[in-house]
Amino acid sequence: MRSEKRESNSALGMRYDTTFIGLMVFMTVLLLMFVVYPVASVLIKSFNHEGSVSLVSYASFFRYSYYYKSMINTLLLGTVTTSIVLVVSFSLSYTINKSNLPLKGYLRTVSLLPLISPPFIFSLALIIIAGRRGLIYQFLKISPNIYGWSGLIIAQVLSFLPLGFLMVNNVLQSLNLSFEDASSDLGASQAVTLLKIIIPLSLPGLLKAALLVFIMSLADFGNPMLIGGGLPIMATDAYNLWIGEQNVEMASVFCILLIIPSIIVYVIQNYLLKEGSFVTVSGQMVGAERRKIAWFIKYPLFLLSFFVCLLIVACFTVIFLSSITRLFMINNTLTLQHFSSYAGWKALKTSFTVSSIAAMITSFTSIIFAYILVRKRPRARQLLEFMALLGFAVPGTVMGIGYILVFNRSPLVLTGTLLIIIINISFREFPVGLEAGISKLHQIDASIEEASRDLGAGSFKTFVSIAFPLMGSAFAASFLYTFMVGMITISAVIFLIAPGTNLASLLILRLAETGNIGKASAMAVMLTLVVFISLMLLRIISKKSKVEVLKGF
Amino acid sequence: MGGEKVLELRNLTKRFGNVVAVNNLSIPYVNRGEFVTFLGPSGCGKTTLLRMIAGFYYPTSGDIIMHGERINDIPPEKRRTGMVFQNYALFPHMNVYDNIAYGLKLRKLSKEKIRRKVTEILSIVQLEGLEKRRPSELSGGQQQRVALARCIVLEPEIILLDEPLSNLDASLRVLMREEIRKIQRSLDLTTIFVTHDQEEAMSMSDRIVVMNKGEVEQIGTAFDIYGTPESLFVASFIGYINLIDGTVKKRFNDEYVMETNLGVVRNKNESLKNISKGDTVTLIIRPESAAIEMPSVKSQENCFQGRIQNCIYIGSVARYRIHVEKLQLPFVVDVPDPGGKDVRKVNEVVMVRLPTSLHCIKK
Repeated sequence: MRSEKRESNSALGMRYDTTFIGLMVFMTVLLLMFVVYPVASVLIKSFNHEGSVSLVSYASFFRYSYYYKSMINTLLLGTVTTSIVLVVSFSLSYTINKSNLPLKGYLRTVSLLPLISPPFIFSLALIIIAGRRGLIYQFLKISPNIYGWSGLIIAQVLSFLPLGFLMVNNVLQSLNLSFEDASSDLGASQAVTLLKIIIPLSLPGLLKAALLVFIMSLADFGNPMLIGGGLPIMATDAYNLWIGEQNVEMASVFCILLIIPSIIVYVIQNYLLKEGSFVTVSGQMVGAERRKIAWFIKYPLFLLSFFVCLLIVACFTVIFLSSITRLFMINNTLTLQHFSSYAGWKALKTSFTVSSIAAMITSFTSIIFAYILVRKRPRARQLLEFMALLGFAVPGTVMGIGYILVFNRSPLVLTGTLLIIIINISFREFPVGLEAGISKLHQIDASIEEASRDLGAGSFKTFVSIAFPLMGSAFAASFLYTFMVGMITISAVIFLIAPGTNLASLLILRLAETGNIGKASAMAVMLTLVVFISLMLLRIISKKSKVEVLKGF
Repeated sequence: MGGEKVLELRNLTKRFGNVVAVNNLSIPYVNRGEFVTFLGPSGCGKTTLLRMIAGFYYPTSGDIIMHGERINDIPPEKRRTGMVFQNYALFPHMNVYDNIAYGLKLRKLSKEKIRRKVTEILSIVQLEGLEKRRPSELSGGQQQRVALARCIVLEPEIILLDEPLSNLDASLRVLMREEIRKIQRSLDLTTIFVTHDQEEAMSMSDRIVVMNKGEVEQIGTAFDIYGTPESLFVASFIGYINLIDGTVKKRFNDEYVMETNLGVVRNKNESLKNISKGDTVTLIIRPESAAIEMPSVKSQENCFQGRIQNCIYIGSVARYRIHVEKLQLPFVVDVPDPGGKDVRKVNEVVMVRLPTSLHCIKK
């Protein structure tokens, strides 16, 4: 409480501090220009009809079944994906935490594997396995229809499983074992304990995980694009309306309808669920002996987990095999030709450059901004944080369209340049860096900076020589995270890429769409490697410095 | 020593929203070379006051005057104060040398001069040879010394110590007390020390400012504060006291006759002021100032009977709680280590003798 008072009323606050007032104004202008304005432009556009404000576009959205079906599909897809992810995540964590079955260590590793791959990699794998000339066709001479619902759901479930698993696992691990002991002591069977104690206690955590997976599903672009098979889904429909039909207004309406659930979810997430956990009931965790679990609970959960993990391994395997064979299953001669594509390396290089610069921008600006928010306590902190968060919360499709609306005319014409892509990535990942910076700053006692002031350093000098070096780990974390995401992102950049240039992630999409599976796989393998290395670095940093980097996503 | 006034606080008030942390507080002077302690329970405003002097808070109203100049609006880096923080606030990414040299570098001293000053101060705080260590590689006591060195190397007009000993273990704390006082004396440093530990305050200070609820209760030497507390708060904050209510029945010059629950008490005390016949007062009796006598002693003036409730022996003294009729709380008497002789048993009836000179506070 004292430190709260100190910071809000301190002479070290913003008053009279022109350097930081200037910096804050500058940052606010950047946020307004690169986050708020683009989103607002989409909103304005959606109400625009031949130059005047109207609801015509919204009306026709709900009039034509083609449009509103897209929304129904999207919500349905989100619901189904989320439910399956939750069930699988729960069985995985239950098996890993409570059972004594072999293989559980491997289950954990495998279920986290999708973290290091581009999010659409499973669509690619599914096409190789079950596509028109895929594995199943080669072996069984039947061709399952993987394009559409089934493929989309499987691909999304596998893509978002790590996120769900990490969150659910967290909940289960923090569950006090004494509740279980008490329940069985009072005479409940294991099944009753599971249904009446464990699941209800995990509910707030499960709900949180569900919400996050749900909006990830809504915002997903790559999977519907690759394996949707023409199924109307909002994120891709917005793209088609924009690129194909040039129907700017309707594309904007799609965007706005996509934003609404995300905003709702983030509000719930940040305001309602913050305290809403039963798990924090205090008391020592007793290292109770692992008890035997009844077979009818143990095996179904294990089998489900095992099956899903097998699927993940299969997907990675076929991608890898298809990248090193001439034409997988048809001509299995080993080759490295897919890796030696000039366009591929060029795209990879462009991705690398773009992501590195974006990461540099994000880490610098987010550290400065975190410092201002935490130490200088501007009155509008909540609002500024929300503005920053917007770039992250809003689906990439929206940020893509917004950027084109804003930056294709004077005063700031950026469309067609790499700069617009860099800025876009920077500001979409800005909140992650911001959170890392804030969490690091909370670990640094403010008196260290006060000591510097007391010894005669001005506020800016104190920031540069004391606070900034101490926030180095947060800087590195936000750099790597932004870099990682920049390498694999699709949804926003697909709108912004200029003809003639290419990014690795977009190239994979194009190659896959045109049936160039071998090359697509090779690119995916390379991209996965790059991301894997970044993630390893990130984990080392997180562990060393206790900065929570992966918390928010 | 003394004489020249370094600091004055005039009617200082600091509000945090609706909370008044410091309320219209004045300290007329802090002299050069003086060691002044702000003493009070947590939340009494002592740290807030210190932070206002350092420049970390702006006063809501009132003046901070240093060498006759109002410094309210001067930021901390421009004030000639130096602070030692409760948690030392050493820069974790710099070694001992760079921590101490930090302020000197900001003052653009030559490399050679910085080296000389740092070496000199390191020998004063007895940390020679540890220049290259990081703060995390130092013990608590060593960190404390670095913090002190970093502050005094800049030769501030006043050094401000914010509960600097509270993170040390008990034996080291006593050692550091003496050490700080020694350095302070030898360098003639004007010092303000904040603590909630009365023993610390008593043993170190030239003067003590006892604070409560954002206000000054009393300013004085350790003797003043202990011997003649001006309020019940001061009396009860420092050491244990027996409080006996009474009324002044008669007064001849500096002799008072008081009617109390213990019977008639005669009190000869020159230092009592403003107490006259008819006043209701509270007598303040320190446990060690009363004595226990055998019941065979005939009841005399300032003696009363009681029954031993229990005895706690803590080495230097034996503390008796004595049940006395008409008193709600037991009367506490400390007897210097009886060494196993003359130990009273529980339920034994004894006489308690009060000193002839008693301090009291007007109600």
